[in-house]
Amino acid sequence: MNKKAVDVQFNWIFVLIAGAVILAFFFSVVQKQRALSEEKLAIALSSQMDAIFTGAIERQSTIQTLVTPQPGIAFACSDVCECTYRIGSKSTEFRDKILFAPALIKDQDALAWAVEWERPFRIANFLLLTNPTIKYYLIYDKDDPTTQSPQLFARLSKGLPKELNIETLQYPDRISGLTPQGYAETRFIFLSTPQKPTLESLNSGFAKEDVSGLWIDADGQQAIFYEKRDSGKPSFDSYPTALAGDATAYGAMFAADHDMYNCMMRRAFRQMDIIARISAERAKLLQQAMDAQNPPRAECAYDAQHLTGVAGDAAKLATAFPDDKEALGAIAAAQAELKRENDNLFPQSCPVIY
Amino acid sequence: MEIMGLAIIVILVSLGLLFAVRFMLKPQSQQAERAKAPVLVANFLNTMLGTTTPCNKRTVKELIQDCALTGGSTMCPDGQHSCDEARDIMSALFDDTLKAWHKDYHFSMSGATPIEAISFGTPCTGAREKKVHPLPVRPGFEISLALEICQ
Amino acid sequence: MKKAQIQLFETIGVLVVFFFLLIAGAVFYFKMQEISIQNDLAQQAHLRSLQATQRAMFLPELDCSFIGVPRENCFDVLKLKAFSKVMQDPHVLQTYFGLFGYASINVSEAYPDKPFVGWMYNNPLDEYRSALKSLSPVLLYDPVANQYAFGVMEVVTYSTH
Repeated sequence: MNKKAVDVQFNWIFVLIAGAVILAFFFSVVQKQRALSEEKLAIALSSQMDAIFTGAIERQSTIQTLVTPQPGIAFACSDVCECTYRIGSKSTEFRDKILFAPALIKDQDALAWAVEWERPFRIANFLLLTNPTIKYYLIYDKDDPTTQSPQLFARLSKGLPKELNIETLQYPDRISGLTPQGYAETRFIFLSTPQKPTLESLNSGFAKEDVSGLWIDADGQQAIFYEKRDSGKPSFDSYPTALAGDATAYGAMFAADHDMYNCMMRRAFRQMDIIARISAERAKLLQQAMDAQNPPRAECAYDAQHLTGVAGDAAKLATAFPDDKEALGAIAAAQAELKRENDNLFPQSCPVIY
Repeated sequence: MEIMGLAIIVILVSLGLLFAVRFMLKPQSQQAERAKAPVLVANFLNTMLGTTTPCNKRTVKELIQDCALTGGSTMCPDGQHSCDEARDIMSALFDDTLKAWHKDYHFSMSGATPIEAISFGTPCTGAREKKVHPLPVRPGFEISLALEICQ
Repeated sequence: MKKAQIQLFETIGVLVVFFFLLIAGAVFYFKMQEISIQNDLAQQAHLRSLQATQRAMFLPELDCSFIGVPRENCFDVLKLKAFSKVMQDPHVLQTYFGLFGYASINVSEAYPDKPFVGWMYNNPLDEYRSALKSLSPVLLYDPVANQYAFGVMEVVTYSTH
């Protein structure tokens, strides 16, 4: 009797153990499958985002809404210009794209906007990304004409899509009066305000918030990034950089930080180098063609040297941006010269340079 | 008896697996492949219309417009009028591209009697990618060009 | 005893069937995964081919523009020739590798004449499993003659899958 009772009990224990083992086995299979599925999804999403970005970058001027995947998209560039966007655990390089985006786009759909960069010929389209959880404050001084702040504001704000979460403040309204509004990120953009911004005066509530600043000078040639240090109060490091046209000003406004901006600009100048070389070669072919006409068309003259010079300076900036101020200046001067040459060719019915 | 039941289940499950594998091995529809067709149709029409012809350096678009408006009164240097010139050039283009690429297609125009006589290929019977391109001839007078590529 | 033996054989039989079903299920599942992955890879290859074609179409290096105003679906023939020359620089080829990967892109004229215009980008894989070809009509603008020809851009993308 005792033996039978013990038998039954051992039977039950055996059943419990066997059941637990089987359950544990299936549970681990399910967990592994879940992890695998999530990774597959992240890979698929990354691939789709790459295609979406490629499409978005070709459609200029119109703002597009891109569905943001649930884990959000994180954008970052290292100081050696390894720029990637990450969805879940999957990281994808920007590759050929010139993309200015905040550090994290999450919760709401992303807004994508492509702007053309011309110097003076079209070089590339910049893709600018943001979403309504990011707040931009544009601060300018409407009363001081010497700083050209109102002109800069008028020029830049005209090109900004209405869908963006932008608020305009008048300098010298005290930004210290502002309190955090619960946005994922807040950026203060100072348009040629008389004094460099003092973001340290911000309300202490911003200490735990993601806040940054950007100051753009009157000519739109220089900018300074203000990035928050990790400390208990709002304190910022400043990073001066250079601008090269309104498209780059927009890039600076939307870039996560100075590293992303500088890396993308180096990529843009690399592109300029190649296009200038192509244009120089084309100019030589045009000159040969004009000389071969019967009679030769002497009025159609093409100076490939300017373009070769632009290529050389752009090649320098492809690694040295923003430090090589001389190259930046030379490109700006060449831009004016090329425009003049192009404008002279058109009335003569000569093929234009660009 | 139970063993027989189990044996039947095993046979049924094996058959089910066999059918499932066979079904999965069928080629899946390729979304990216299908996305190429509308791009091809649109690009083809735009490119064809923008091509310069030897007829006084007019484009194919201008020849078609002239054909629709005047019935082909414009004479080209080779002695043909605009309708015949447009037809010959379009025929050559279709032969050297879509036909050479073994793509079935149908091109037609509507909106004016002289151009309705010009068509190429045979209408698609099944799935197709079609684009209709409206072409203004003059204010208030518009013709349509339709190109479909059969899939 | 015999009854016990029969019982034992039955139990073993059930276990054998159970494991057979388990193994069959596992084999089926992994086969499905393999097929699914292959389909995904094929889809990826087609997507890459489509992207390469799209990117090539919108290159600012080749666009037809007049005083900064570009014309869609058009390549400037002189820019194409210049591009082919510049592409001989290995650093430039490396730059475009990020854009096109292992691919060959060439442009030829279909009307009025049929001269071969040039290789835009030539970086094929020596050993590949699949090569997807895509043909796109494109206008070819000659700035000297101020005329447009009917061109065809051929994009071949290579894959090891």
